[in-house]
Amino acid sequence: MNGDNRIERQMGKLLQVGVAVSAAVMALGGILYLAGHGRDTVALSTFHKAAWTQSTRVLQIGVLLMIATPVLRVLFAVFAFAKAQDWLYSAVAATVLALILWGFVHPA
Amino acid sequence: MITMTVVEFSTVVLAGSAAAGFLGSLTGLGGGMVIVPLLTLALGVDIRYAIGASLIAVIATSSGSAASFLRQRYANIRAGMLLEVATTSGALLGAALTALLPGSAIALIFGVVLLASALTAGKHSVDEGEQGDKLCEKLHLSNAYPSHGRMVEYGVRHLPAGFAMMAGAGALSGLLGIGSGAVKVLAMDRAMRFPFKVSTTTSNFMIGVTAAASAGVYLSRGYIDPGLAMPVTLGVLGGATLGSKYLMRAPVRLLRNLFRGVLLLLAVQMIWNGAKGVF
Repeated sequence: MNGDNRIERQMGKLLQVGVAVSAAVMALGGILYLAGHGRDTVALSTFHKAAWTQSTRVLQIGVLLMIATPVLRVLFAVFAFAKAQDWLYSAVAATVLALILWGFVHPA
Repeated sequence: MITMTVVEFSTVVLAGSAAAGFLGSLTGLGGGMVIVPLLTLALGVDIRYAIGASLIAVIATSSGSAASFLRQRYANIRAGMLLEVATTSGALLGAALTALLPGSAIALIFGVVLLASALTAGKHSVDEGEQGDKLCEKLHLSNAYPSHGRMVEYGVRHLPAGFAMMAGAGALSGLLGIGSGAVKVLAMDRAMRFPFKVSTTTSNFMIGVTAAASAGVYLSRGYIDPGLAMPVTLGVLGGATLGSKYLMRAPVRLLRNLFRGVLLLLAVQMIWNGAKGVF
């Protein structure tokens, strides 16, 4: 299909930048986390709600950015296909987006 | 329970995750299938944390390697997005089922499904020249992909069967925190008759979105620990970058055999752990 190559390239770019930025934020957050908690003992075998302390704040943002990256790709597809007047696939992407957001709002 | 400092623990997890990422990227499986057993069995991490961290790594692997697949025109984005409707629905269902089903039963079922897939993986579709069926033509799913320096056209078939398998793949992703790349590749390669390289790359493209749907549920439940997700994700990303570079030069036959071997290993692992009641 005409124009698909352009959409593919833009999607690729978006994912690439998204992952690079998220990973960089996670790495920075990781350094801060290890500097603050590096000598703590690991106790992951007992379940507790993840603690979002000050030194994990940057790490938290990195994780959220990583989750947001493919979601943004779907959002991009909604508009890219609409611009190409491919209404069917714009609607398909919108459906996927709605399903993902549903999971964030209504955890079963 | 093993006691380690956070620095020691992070280093071990980073190294193991790098190996998992390399393997996952090369086969289109994603790192998740190796990450969860590594964290739970070898390091004694609570399975809910392991699944949460694995999901973030799975998102990173898929998104990170998708860029080069997309640039080289292997992945079929229309097919990917249409099938994502099935995988994300399945993922939400799977994440909801986690609370209801005992983990060991799920691991057992999954192991058996994987074993069956691995044993039949050699019987493979023809890579080119096949005609797509009516429904798939109507939805513009047939496309072309680069092979031996030219664009080869392919036809796609059996959307309903592929769609159903994708919903199953999504449910497994939500249940176990894996990318379910193996089931996705089977659905595309064997049921829908996509060429193998189109199947692995499109599957990889879809894995991130599927895992994001699952991650939304896990995140709001508090199962995603940033301190664990960090070494897992960064390790997997490093390994996956190496793996995706090698994939483009790899012959299809070698890839398929490797894929089959990994499926077999994982199937045995899942059945063993499920039977022992580890999960």
